[in-house]
Amino acid sequence: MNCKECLPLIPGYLDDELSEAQAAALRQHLLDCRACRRALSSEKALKRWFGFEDSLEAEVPAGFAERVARRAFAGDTGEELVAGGGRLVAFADAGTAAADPGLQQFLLRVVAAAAVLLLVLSAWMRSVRLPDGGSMSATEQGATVEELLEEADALNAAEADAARPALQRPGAEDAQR
Amino acid sequence: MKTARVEDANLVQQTLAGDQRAFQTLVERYQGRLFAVVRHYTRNAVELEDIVQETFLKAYRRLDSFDHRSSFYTWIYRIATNTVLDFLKRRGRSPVQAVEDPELVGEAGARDCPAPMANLEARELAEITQSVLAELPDIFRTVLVMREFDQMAYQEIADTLEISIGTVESRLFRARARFKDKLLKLYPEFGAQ
Repeated sequence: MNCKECLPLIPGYLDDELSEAQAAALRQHLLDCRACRRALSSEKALKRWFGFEDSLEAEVPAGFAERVARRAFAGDTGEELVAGGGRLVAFADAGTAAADPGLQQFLLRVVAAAAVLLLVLSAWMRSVRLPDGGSMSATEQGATVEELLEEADALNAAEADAARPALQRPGAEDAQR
Repeated sequence: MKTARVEDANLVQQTLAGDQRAFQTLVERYQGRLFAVVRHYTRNAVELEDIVQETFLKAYRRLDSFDHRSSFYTWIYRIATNTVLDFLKRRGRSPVQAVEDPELVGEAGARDCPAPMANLEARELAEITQSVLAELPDIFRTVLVMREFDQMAYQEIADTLEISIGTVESRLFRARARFKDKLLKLYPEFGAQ
């Protein structure tokens, strides 16, 4: 047996899954090969990690068996429990809810809809005419620019007439005579 | 003295005859082991309880198909594994990630695995192990959990996952190598011992 054949067999050797012939050949190789002995001890170290992990006891919630039996006999299929929504979300803490893809999708859609609504609202608000200096004008609403200009010209002419000296007015001389 | 297997068979028959209390006893017998297994896939207590609960509810619905060829535990373990894999798939992790992905193959066995540090509490070490385990692709985590935590023989793993023993060996070999790599990446301090 060479190293290439030996290495893949080491986990099975530690798991007691090799045939006696395989194990004997592996042991023989290990006696002769320092590198493979090191790989063996590395695998043993790995197993110690798993041993620690296994030392954590799983806690079963109080009354679990009774609840499950009751639900089973009540015809509860349990399908909705881990089907990406439903109870998981309803009873989950914030961390669970965040991890739930269904809820995340829903939240994303709500946020997207809110963003679109905001855009539409802001566009509408821009289109609405805000009060400005023009709206405070004393002029009659509805007059066109031309009408306003004509009105202004007429006023100017009247003012000019009033300001002109009496002699310069047509017919003023005859009146003096 | 009745063996556990005979007791289980009786409880199954009584359950099928409509005895709710018998089913509750079956759940009580195996709930601890199933919680211990499933907690390797999720650290969330609500998800954990839901997965185990669904496992038992599925088992109840299919109880008439239990043919007693395997032990009740092997049978329900298989249901639990499938429930977990479905759950992981729905949550976004693919349990059928390609085993032949070159990145997954790596140089298995090339790195030394650091021994756990003596000054750390068992609970701390357990939590480190669990966090490294959570980083593994599901196909690797599944075989590691079955072998290392539930002490299943290769043949049992093969039967449960419906794969060949050769595939079990190959996945275990790669899973262990990946575990070592992840451990050293996440906790490089262990490599400096």
